[in-house]
This record gives sequence, structure tokens and C-alpha cells, in this order.
Amino acid sequence: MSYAVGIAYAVSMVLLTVVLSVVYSICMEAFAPPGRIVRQSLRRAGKLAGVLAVLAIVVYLLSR
Amino acid sequence: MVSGPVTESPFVTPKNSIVTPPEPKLVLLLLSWLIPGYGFYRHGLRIRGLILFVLIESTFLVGVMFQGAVLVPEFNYRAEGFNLVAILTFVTQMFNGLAACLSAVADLTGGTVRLLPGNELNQWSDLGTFYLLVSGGLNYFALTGTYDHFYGVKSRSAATIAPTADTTG
Repeated sequence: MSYAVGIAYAVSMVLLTVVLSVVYSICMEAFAPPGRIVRQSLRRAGKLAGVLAVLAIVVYLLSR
Repeated sequence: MVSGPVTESPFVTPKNSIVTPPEPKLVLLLLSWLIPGYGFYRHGLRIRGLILFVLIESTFLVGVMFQGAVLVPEFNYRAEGFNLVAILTFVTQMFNGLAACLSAVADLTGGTVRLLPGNELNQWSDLGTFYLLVSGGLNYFALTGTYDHFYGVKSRSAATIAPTADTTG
């Protein structure tokens, strides 16, 4: 049970990163074909996930 | 030279196939604030409008399931409970329009009227509130996208690109 909250937060970060990148890509390029939106979403999700990962590591190191 | 709209698939809508909805701009933007994806749907991008609606409201619903709620903060900066982060969270959550308003009813009525589940004391409520925050931010993107693509700078560039030949059919 003590690990459930941490796992929920980690899964949430991944899920919300995907949702955010898809919605943002659709809103920024409304008329783009689906393939382009998927590629842009993956690119943005990767960048955002990288930033979040770095932040998570920094927070972990600072909290030790 | 392309003589008319070329639609490769039902998921691709050429810019010259934009539908002009009957509502005035402000009414449509207000409805887009209340209902995520409405602006895209009314302008002919129906599938994308539905996708936006499903993604944004699903995010909100997951937050509600985690017992998150929209809490009205203390706006008086002299009051003891004044918190800038809480105010920013509230403002961002409220971008989700109707759903956020329904969630805020409980806090506004002191818990007397509770239209959606939400328990500030629940251990998952912080995570739920974060989902509500993200759903509001997503609808902010949808709103700005609606304005930019159909009323703003991008709409004017789309008009210059659209062919002047007969586009019916």
C-alpha cells in the first residue's frame, strides 16, 4: 500500500505527458494530417518526459 | 493545379472546407470554454473536436475519481489564508468551464450542495486536483487554438491560401 501512491504519481506523469502532447499538437496544427500530429506529439512528449525526468532526479537529490 | 478541396481521408480537413458557424465569435468562444472542443467541432473539424472533448473531460473525470475538487481560494492578500499558488491553481482549473464550475459548487456552498465527488482530506485528493488543473490547462490550449485558427492570425493566412476557384462538391 505504501508504494501505491508513488506508482500512481509516476503513471500519472506518463499519462498526462501523452495527453498533454496530443492535445497541444492538435490545437497548434488543427489542419495537419494525423501522421504529422502523431509525430509531433511523440516529439513533444519525449521532450517533456525528459524535462520531467531531470526534475525528478534533481528533486530526489535535493531531498536526500 | 488543385481545382477544389482535396480530402485524402475523413480525418483530414482542408483549410478551404472550414464551416462558418452561425453563432457570433464571443458566443462560440464562451461555449468552447464551457464545452472543450466545441469550437473545433462547429468549424467542421468534428473528429478533432470530439478527440479534444474526450481527452480533456477524461482527464477531469480521473481527477474527480481521485477525490479532487476545485477549491475557491482566498483572494484577499491581507487574509491569513492567502496563497498565490492556490489562486493560480484555481484560475487554471477554471479554464475547463462547465466541469470546473460544477466541481466548485461544493466549496461555494460550504459542502451543502455536492454535484461531484471531492474530498479535500482524502490522501489522493492532491493528485486528483492536479488532474483537474491539467484539464483546465488543456482547454486553455483548445481555446487559444480555436481563436487562432478560426478568428486570429492563422485564419487570415488560411484565407489567403484557400483557392478562389469553385470549391463545392
